[in-house]
Amino acid sequence: MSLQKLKANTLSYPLRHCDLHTIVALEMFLKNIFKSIQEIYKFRYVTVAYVTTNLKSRYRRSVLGFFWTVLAPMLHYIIMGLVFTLLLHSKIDNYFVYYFSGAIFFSIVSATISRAPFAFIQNEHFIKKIYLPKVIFIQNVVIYEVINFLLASSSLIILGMAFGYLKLSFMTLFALIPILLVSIFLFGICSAVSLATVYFRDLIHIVPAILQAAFFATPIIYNKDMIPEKYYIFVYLNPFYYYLEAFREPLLYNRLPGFQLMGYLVLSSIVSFLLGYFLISKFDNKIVFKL
Amino acid sequence: MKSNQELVSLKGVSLEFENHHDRTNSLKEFVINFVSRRKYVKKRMSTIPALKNIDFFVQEKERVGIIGLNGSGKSSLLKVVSGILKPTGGLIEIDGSVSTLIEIGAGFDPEFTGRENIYLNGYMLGYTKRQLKLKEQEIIDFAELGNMIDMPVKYYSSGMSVRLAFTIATSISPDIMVIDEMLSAGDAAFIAKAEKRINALIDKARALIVVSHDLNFISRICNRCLVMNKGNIVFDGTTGDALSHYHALIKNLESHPN
Repeated sequence: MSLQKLKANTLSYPLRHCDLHTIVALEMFLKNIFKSIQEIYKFRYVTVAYVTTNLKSRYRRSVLGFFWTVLAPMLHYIIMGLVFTLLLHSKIDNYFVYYFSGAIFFSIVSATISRAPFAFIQNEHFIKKIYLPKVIFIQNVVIYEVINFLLASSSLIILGMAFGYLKLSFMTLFALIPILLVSIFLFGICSAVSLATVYFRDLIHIVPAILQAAFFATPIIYNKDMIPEKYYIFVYLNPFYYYLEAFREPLLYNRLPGFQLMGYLVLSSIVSFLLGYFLISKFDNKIVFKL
Repeated sequence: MKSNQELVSLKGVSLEFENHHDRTNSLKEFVINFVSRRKYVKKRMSTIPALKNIDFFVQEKERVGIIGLNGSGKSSLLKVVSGILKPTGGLIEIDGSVSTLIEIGAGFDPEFTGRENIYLNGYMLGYTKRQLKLKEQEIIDFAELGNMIDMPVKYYSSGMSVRLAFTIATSISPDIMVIDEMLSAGDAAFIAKAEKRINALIDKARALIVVSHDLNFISRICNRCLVMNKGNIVFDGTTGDALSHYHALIKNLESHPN
């Protein structure tokens, strides 16, 4: 009788069995995450040494040092800024700040993504000889570029204030939050790009072209209202558009971005981070064979 | 009980390399193949077994030598023990810190100075900041680098970078030491010095696993020896017996090639 009862039970609750599986799987997943966080903590100094040494060697190379290396990539943006100011200045107020906030924002995106294809390939000799969690290599790229960006942008903010284009207020600090979120978002993108490059080496040549397209697909030199409505879809599909909006609000209009926008940023950055993390841990063991 | 503890235990470990006959390493080809619906992946991929169902246990105070012909799976076994390669099947348990000396000398960033590389490389090997601070001067002295330590590594001679890499890798004693054919560079004086350093390290380590073609080195250092052939452990016993088994294997191969 008891057996019958048991059978009936299992039949009437087929979900229970399934629930147990998900719980076990979830537990394993959390355990793995915990283990890899421990591992990343153990190797934290690798990132510290990589970032500081790279920054040092980057900035000691030239006589003008820090300012020159910061301004060199910006020259490109300055030229474009001047050209577009002449072409479009009447339609957007304070165009110079509008353009530069966009350009500065995009510089972190393009710098990080254009380094991403090399994250594993350039470190082949390490990966084949020493055991390191693969996440470290992605983390190195993103953290290095974020710090580099903060140095570059703070120098530009000082310049902007000196020339009277920008008024620094408490609100300006809020612009750091979208930057933090976009770097978390970029971690996910970087993981995918680095991993894909291990399998498809010609991505090294394709990524710069995609970045060029992304530059024009993001409202940096133009305002969304300046393009025909049927092209709005491209802007809305571009994830960086939302980050840029949240970055510009405090800088340009001295106000906080809306809750809905911030909610989207937090959600998308977390989803991207987790997807990237999942990808890397899934392929952790396979990368070494493919390099 | 404690003395009989297994530091390294491999149960039924196997490792397979995927061999892609046409390495489609480009997205362009992948897209073209996909669009033209050419089925190429399944047909042209084979796996090469590097390790076949290996059971291998190392206990406290054992100095294990591994010998075998080229391609017999010795280095793969070491890489599995040190975590660089994850096995395709089986269980690995390791109790203690592992330090690996595998083809040293390539783990440097050429743009960084020697001193910066000591830290970068040391952190990658799992050393802490405090350990490295204490060892920094000793490393520079032993590697005989002097003022060159603050020059970028790209200006080093190959001997200099090998000396530096060797010294970093051997500066802190691990529980389990894994060595793969390493004393092949540097001048005679340095090699003598290096062997002394390794011996001191081996005395401190709780277990040692070493791969070498230098049979003298193996018989001097090891108290247990494995012979590997085609991904299997074909002999496991005392060093003297292993060497004679290995010689017999070579003779057998010479008389029956393939």
